[in-house]
Amino acid sequence: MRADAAGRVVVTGLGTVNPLGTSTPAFGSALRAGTCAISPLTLFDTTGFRSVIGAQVQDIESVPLPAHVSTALRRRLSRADVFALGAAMEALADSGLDSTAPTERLGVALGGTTGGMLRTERCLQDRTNDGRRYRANALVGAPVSASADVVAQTLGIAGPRLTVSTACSSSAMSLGIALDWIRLGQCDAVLAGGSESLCATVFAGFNALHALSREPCRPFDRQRSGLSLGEGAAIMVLEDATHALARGARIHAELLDYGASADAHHLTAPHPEALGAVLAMRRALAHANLAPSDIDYVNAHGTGTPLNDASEITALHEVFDAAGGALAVSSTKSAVGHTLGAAGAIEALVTVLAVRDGFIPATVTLDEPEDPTLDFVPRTSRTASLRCALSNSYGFGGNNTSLVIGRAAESTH
Amino acid sequence: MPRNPRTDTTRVVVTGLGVVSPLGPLPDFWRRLTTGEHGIGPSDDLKTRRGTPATVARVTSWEPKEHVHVPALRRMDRLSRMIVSATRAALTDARLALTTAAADSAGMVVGTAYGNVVETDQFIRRLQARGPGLANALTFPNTVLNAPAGYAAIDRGLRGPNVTVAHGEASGELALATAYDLIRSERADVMLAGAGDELAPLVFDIYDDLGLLSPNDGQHAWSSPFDRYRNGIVLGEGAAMLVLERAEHAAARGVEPYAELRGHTAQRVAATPHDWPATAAADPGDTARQLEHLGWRPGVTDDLVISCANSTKRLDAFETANLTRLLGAAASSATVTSLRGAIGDFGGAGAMSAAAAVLALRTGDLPRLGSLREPDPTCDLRLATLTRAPPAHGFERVLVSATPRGGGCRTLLFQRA
Repeated sequence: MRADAAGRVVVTGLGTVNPLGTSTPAFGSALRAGTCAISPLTLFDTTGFRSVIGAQVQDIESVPLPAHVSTALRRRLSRADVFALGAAMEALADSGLDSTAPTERLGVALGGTTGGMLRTERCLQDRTNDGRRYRANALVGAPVSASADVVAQTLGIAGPRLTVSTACSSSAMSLGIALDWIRLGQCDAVLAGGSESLCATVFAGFNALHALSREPCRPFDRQRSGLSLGEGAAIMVLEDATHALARGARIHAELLDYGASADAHHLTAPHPEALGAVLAMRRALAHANLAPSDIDYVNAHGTGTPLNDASEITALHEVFDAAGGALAVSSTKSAVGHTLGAAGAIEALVTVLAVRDGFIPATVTLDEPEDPTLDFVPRTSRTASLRCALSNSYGFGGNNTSLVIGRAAESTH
Repeated sequence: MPRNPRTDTTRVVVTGLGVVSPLGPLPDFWRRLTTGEHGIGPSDDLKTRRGTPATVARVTSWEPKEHVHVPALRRMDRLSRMIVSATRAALTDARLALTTAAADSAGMVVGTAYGNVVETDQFIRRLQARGPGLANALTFPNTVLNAPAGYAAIDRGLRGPNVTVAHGEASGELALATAYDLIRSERADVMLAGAGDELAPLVFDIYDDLGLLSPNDGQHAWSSPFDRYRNGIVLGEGAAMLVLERAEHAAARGVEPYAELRGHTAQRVAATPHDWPATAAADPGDTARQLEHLGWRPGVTDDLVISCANSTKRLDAFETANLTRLLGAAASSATVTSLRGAIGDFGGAGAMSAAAAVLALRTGDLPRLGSLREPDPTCDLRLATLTRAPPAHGFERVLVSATPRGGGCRTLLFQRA
């Protein structure tokens, strides 16, 4: 068993704070029940926007923070920092990695796109309203990399630290890089994932691009009309399998490998032939030594914009058609919204739960499938035994990352 | 079976450089660093909160439109133009004409602390003043942190992994380390790796309100790392990109590398998440162990250390204590320098340190502390003063050291190819 475990990376801890739940069990239950968390936003004024809805974490106060976090620091934490801390603490506790483990062998790899933008907006409003109240030093914790610093310093994690910011694929890429860190021998385990907070700036940006849906987003539906933004964090403990087995850790699933590519085509529009998305999936499968027929489920990027979903369908046909059968593909953005920098990690966590617990999460808002030859798992989740699954994430800039996640029973025997 | 790169011996070399800096492009950048010149001067547009003119290190001798005028890229912001320009220069320098097949396995990692703050600030200002109906759909994509890397991939057709990373003032070092890992993990044969940040009014305000800018003692504005009379940061800007390549890949092309990137280290020192560590926290034990694992022990060869010391009391004191402990008995033979007196301080500055590191290894010369008047009396390091001669046979190794706020220290170790 030891020899087989060499080079393998397993998931031994799960943590999340998102609009469907502020813990992994709560999130898992809501996901299986088919709940949609997309509703009118209260975090900022939505007057004048085409859409007024999104998936907002309602009870941020319920997210526990470490007792030793000072009041001064607490005041400086952004929403994204709080989400990240909550998810990291849950994942660490779930993994059973205790404080006696050498923390210099533990890393932090997070993804995000806007960090403390919500605070930046309030600070800049002061600048506009009354220059005397404007204090730019309030923005010292605003950069996107702050959450990783907060997690590492607050939880005393002494290994490598990184923040990936590749738009909507950020936290899929941070999981991939964390896998490489472990394989390269730089870490025994990594707290890897991502965190994102809603803010008016990004809402206005997607609004201006006509990309926001007025109703909860409907990925892969013929009537889809855009995306619904969301927020939250998901962080998991990725661990060297040998290390995990030696300490008798519970293994949720295995991160088999990943593939990354760039479209090199356009900053916002997907490649018409989905070249980059195909490359990412094929690279992921090749690195994992798997064939398309080994994949039982794809957690799609599936934003609900007309262009993205059409392009992803093209990519799925290109990669999977030869494998035969109806591939199960769903977009859980229909339930938690598009959480941008956290999306890759939240969806990887969904995929881990799916292979661990044996179910396929639904595309909960889907009625009229865009493509009848694919099984988009409309409305209702279903029980299914899954061997391996892909989680796709695509971002502005033309970044594509596909993660391959396998059932633990397959991987550690 | 999954590969196990921990046992493999992949070597990574640097074969090309592209620089857009306050000192000018590559030849000027290096010549002026070695002669101890700086690129610091009064700002045309920025003022401090007290109304006094700002002192900054601007990129001036560079006209973006001369370098980049591809229709698909016409909406590029200034930071993206810097990154694209540095990327093009690095690929040319590396004599890499990427065919479609080669571009498929060429990726990039760009580090940036803040990204395109100028347009983000303008976007928010307009949104708050005029409401969401008039928000600018054309500039919004440019405000995303990975826009520069996206544009550069489009410009050069790079279809390998395309990653943007951020880690405050260590963003450049992190980008190089990440690209090195991606090559070692067989994700790409060639990686464009580097960093950039732009001098933005909002960033200037943050540093100003934090009291970090020179002259925070009321004397004259300057940047002089390790100086007894140092009095704060001069903010700079720019971009540097390096071509990293599997050694076999470079050898097969018949290219002479600048240097080898031997590896990197990462360690946490205790700090509040938003400030530099205190001097008492200096304990480079983990870094020393990781460097030893890479085959580096201080004092065995003539080495150069390029520090992130940025002319603040706090960071320079920490770097002095940390490097003194790291170098140990070799502190009297290793030469220590910093680029921040010449190019100012900014998130992506570490990529310029990396560029200077490989230039030092190739040319045998070194960047000098041209502004240094009187070394801090607590500093026993062998500083790169204007009269400091390099070792007769050049440097064997160069260590780039970064201590960002939040205490996530990083080093990069370069050695002769």
